[in-house]
Amino acid sequence: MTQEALLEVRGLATHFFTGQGIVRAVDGIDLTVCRGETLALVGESGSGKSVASLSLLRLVEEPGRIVAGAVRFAGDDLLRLSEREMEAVRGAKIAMIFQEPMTALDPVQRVGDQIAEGLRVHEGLARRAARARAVELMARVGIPDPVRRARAYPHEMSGGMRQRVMIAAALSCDPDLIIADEPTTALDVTVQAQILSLLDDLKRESGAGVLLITHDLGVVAEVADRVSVIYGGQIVEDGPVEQIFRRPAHPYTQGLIACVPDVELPRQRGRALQSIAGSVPSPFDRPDGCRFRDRCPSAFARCTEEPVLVPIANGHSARCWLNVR
Amino acid sequence: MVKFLGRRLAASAFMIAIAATIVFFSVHLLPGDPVLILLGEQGAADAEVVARLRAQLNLDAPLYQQYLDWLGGLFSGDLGKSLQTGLPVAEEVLRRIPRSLELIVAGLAFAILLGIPMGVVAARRRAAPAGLAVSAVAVAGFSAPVFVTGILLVIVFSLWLGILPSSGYVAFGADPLGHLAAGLMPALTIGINFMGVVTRMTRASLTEVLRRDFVRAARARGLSHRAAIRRHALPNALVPVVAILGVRAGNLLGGTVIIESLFDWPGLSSLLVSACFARDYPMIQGALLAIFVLFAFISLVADLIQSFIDPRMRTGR
Ligand SMILES: Nc1ncnc2c1ncn2[C@@H]1O[C@H](COP(=O)(O)OP(=O)(O)OP(=O)(O)O)[C@@H](O)[C@H]1O
Ligand SMILES: [Mg+2]
Repeated sequence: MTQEALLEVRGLATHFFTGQGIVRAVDGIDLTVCRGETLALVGESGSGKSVASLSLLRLVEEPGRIVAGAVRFAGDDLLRLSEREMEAVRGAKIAMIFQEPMTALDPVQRVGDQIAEGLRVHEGLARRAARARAVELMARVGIPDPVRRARAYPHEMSGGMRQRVMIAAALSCDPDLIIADEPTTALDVTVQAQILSLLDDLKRESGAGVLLITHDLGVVAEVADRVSVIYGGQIVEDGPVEQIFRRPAHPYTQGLIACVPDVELPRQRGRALQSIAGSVPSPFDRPDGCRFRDRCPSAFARCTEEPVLVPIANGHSARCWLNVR
Repeated sequence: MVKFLGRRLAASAFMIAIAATIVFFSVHLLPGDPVLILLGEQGAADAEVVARLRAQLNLDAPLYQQYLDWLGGLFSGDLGKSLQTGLPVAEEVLRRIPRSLELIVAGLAFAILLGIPMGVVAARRRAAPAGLAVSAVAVAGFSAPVFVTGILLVIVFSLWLGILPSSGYVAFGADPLGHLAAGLMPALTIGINFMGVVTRMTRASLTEVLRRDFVRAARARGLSHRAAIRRHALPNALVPVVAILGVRAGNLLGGTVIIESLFDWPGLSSLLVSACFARDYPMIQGALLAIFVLFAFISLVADLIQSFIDPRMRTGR
C-alpha cells in the first residue's frame, strides 16, 4: 500500500531561547501523514508534542523559534511561505483542534460565529451565509438543536459539546489535514469515545489526513493507522500501529505499552498501572547519547553514543542500539 | 438582558436611597448647630431669632421627622431652599449637573479613545521603543496630580500659545465655540489622568489575554495576528478595563473638585465647595446627593457595557 504523502516533516527543530538557556523542545523530527490516514504522535508530557504541532502551523510564540527543517505540504515548504500565504493555509488546508475546548473557545463570542469565522476569512462569506453553514456543520458533528445552539456561548455548553464545536470549526473549510492535539484528554471517558469515533467518521467521509497527538495508547490502538513515538524532542520509534503494539522495538515504547492495562479491551479499572521509572529529563540537562538511557532497563555501554533511527521492518524503525546488530 | 437591566436599575435605586440617608445623617449629626454657626456669635445671643430660624429650617422637628421630610422631598424633587439665596436647591443642582457631566464625559471619551489604542501598542510591543514610550506617557499621565497637569496645560495653552482661556465658563447657548474653548482644558486634565489608567489597564489585561488558547485557536483558523486581537483578544481584555473605570468613577468625581476650582468651572464640585464655606447645608446635601447620583450613573453605564461585551455577566449574577 503506497499512498500519497500529504504532509512530510523533515528534520524539524524548534528551540526556545529562554533566559536560563536553550530548550530544544523539538529536536529534528520526521513525520509523514498520508491522505485518509491517521498518524498518532505519542509521548509523555513535556516530550514536545504540542510544540511540534504548533510548529507545523508556524504558531510557536516567542521565545520559541523554528531553527531547522522542512514542512512539505501540498507541494510547498510551509516554512518558506510568507506570513500572508501561511494565513491562507491555516484553517483552510490545515485545521487544528485543541486540548481544552473551554479555553480554546472565545468566551464572549457565540459558538456559531466562531465556527463560521474560518468561512468568512477564507471564503469571504457574508455573516448570514456563514451562520447558515455553521448550523449545518453543527448538525454534522452531532450537536442537537443546532439552530438554537449556534447562538449559545461556550459557557452554556458541556465539555463534549464544546469539543464538537471545535471540530465543526476545524471542518468548516474542508481541510486536507486535521491536527488534533489531545482532543479528548479534558473530557469524560464516555464522551472521549464519542469524540474519537466522530473524528474517525469525519476522516472517512472527507478523506482528510489526521495527525492525532496523544499520550494515551488506548486511543492510539482505537483510531491510528501509524504511530510515531516522541521522546525528549526526538522521534524514537515509528511504524504501523499493529507492528508497534505487537513488536515494539524501543524500550521506551515497550514501557509505554506496559503502562496500558489492556490495550485490546476497554480500559479496566482497579488494575495497578505500571509506569516507566523516572521522568522526562529536564530539557536543560538531557543525557548525551541516547536521551532515554538513564531510565532504560536495558541500557548498555554503547548508549552513550547518540543512536540513529534504523529501519527494522517494512515502514517500522526505531532509534535504539539494541536493534543494530 | 431585560431581567439583568431591571436588577441593575433596582440596585442603583437602592444605592441612591442609601446615599441619601448617609448624606442626611452626615450633615445632621456633624458637631455644631447649623443655626448657631449660621447666625454667628452675635446673632446667637438673641434667643428669639434662633428659634425663628430653627423653625424656618425645620430643625425643631425630631430627627426622624426631618429625615422622613428629606426623603419625601426627594421623591417630589424638593431638596429644600438655599440658606444663602433662598432659591430652591434642586434648581441650582440641576443647572450644574450637565456642566460637570460634560467635563467627565469628554474626559472619559478622550481617555478611552486614546488609552485603548495606546494600551494595545504597549501590550504588543512591550520591549520595543514604541511600547516603552507609550508606557512612559501613561505613567506620567496618571501619576501627575491633576492640578499639576491642569497648571501645565494652562501654561502651555494660555500663557505660551494664548489660544485657550485660562479659566472661566461661557454658556453654550451664548457662545458655543467659547463654551468648548473654556471646557477643553478642564476636560483634557481629567482625560489625561484617566488615559494613563486606561492605557495601563488595557496593556495589562491584553497581555494576559494574548496568552490564552482562544487567541491561538483564532490564528489557527487563519486570522492574522491583528484580526485575532481585534476580534477576540481585545473584547475579552476590555471587560476588566471597563470594570475598573466604573469603580474609579469615584476618583474621577474627587478629581473634579480640584479641576472645577482650578478652572473656575461652575459645576457640582465647585457648588459643593462654596456651599461648605457658606454652611449652606441644604445646598451641601443637594450637591452631595447629585454627586452620588452621578457616580451611580457612571457605574451603571460601566456595568451595562461590561454585560454587553461579556455574556457571562448577564446570566452569572
Ligand atoms: N514558551 C516556552 N518556553 C520555554 N520552554 C517551553 C515553552 N513552551 C514549551 N516549552 C518546553 O518545550 C517542551 C515540550 O513542551 P510541549 O508542550 O510540546 O509538551 P507536550 O508533549 O505537548 O506535553 P503535554 O502532554 O503536557 O501537552 C517542554 O519541555 C517545555 O518545557
Ligand atoms: Mg501538549
